[in-house]
Amino acid sequence: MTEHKILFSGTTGAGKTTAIGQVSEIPPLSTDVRNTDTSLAKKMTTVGLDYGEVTLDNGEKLRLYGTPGQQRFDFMWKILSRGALGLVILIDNRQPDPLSDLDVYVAGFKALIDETACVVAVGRMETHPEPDLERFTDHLQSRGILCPVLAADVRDSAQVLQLLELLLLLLQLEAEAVEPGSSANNCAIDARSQRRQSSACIH
Amino acid sequence: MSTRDALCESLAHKGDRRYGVEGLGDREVLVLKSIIRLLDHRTQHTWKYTPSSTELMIVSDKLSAAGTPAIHAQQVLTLGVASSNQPGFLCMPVNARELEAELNRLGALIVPVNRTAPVPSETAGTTPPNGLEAQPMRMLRWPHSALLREPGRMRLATLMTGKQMTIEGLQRSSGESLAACSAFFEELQKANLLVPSQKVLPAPLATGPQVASRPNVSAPKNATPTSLLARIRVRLGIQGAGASQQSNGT
Repeated sequence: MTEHKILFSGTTGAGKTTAIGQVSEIPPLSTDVRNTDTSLAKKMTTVGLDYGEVTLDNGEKLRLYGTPGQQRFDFMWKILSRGALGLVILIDNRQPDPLSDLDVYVAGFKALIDETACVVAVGRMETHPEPDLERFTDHLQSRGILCPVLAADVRDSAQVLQLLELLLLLLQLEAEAVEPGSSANNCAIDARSQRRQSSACIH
Repeated sequence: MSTRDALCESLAHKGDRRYGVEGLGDREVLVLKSIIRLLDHRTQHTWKYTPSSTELMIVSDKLSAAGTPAIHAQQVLTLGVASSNQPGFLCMPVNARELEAELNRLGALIVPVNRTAPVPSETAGTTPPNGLEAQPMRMLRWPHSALLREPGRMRLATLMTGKQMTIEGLQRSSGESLAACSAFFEELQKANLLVPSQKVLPAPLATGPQVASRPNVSAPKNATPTSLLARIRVRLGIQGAGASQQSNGT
C-alpha cells in the first residue's frame, strides 16, 4: 500500500502532538515521557515521535509525523524527512529566542524544505506577540526562504487544517513547476512520493 | 537522491546575481573580484561583476562620508576600516568567510530585475500592453499580516509564493474572484512586494516565464480528484486550488 507523510516539527511545547491529534483519525501515538526539563511548563514531553494517520479514499495512508523537538534528536529529523511530502514548522513564541529556534529547524530540515514545501506557524502570539510575524518573515527571507508564515493556535482544528491547506497549495505549485499545465501534475507528486518511499525502504 | 546528485541539483539551481564596486582603489577591486570568484563554489549564487549593477553595490565607507549621491542598487555592502558588527558592513581587509556570509545573505534579498531583454516576442503577442493585469508578477516577500486579514488572502499569497502570476492566472489557480485577486495585486504593489517576472527565478519553485504566459495553463484538471493532493484535500475536507474546485463543481 502506498503511504505518504507530512511532518510537523518545531520547538518543544509548540504543539506538534496537539496539531496531529486535530487531524488524525486515530489517537496520536506518542512517545511522551515525564518532562524533567524545568524550563518547560509541561508535564510530559515527546522524546521520540508522534504519529497520526489519515486514510485516503483509495485506501492509501497519509501519515502525520511529529518530530521530537529537542535538537539532540536531530538524527531522527533526517530519517523522518525521507519520503515526506512537506513540512510544517511550529514555533512557540513563549521561548526565549524563537528566531533562533526557527533557525534550528530551517537548518535541520534544509534539504526537505529545498525539495518540497514548508509552512511556518507561530504559536502563543496572543500572549507573546514579539517577535512579530514580520520579523519571522524577514528572518526566513534572509535565509533565502519565502514561505507562508502565520500565527496559529493548534488547539483549533480549523487552524491546523489551514496550515495543511497552504502546504498542499505549495505542493501543487511545485507539481505545476515540474509539469506545467499538465493534467498529470499531481501524478508527478504521486510518483515522486513513491520514489521517496522506495528510497526510504532501503534502510 | 545521493549527496552528489543533490549537490549537482543545487548547483544547477544556483541563481545569478550581479555586483558592482564603487569607491575602492583598483587594487582593492581586483582583490575583491578575485575573492568572490574563488568563493563561487561555496556561495549560494553565482556573482558576476557588472560595473553598473543595480543588484548589489559594494562601496567604500569613504563614499558615504563624502556625501556621494545615493547608490541605486537593491542592496549595498559597505567596506570600511571601522569595527562594526552591523549587517551590510565588512571590515577591511575582507575576511573571506564573512564576505561569503554577506553575499549569501544579500543574494537572498536580491531580485534579479532589468537584466534581460524585454518580453520575448512569442509571449509579447499574447500579453496586452501595459496594465498590471497582463503582466506576470512575482512576489518578493511574504506579505505583512495586515494584508492577509481578508478571507482568501492567505491562499492568494501562498499561490504567489515562488511563482510568477498574472491576476488572471491567480484567479484561475485560486478560484477567488477577479476583483479579489486584482485588489490583492494592487495592495502588494503598493507595498512594493511585486516585481515584473524575469527569466531567472530562484529554485526550487522556478517555473520559467512560459507558465504565466500561457493563457490555458490552469485548465480544469480532470485527473485532480483522483490525484494525491486532491485525495488529501477531500479527506481533510479542505478547499482545493481553483482548478480543482472547478472540476469538482464547487
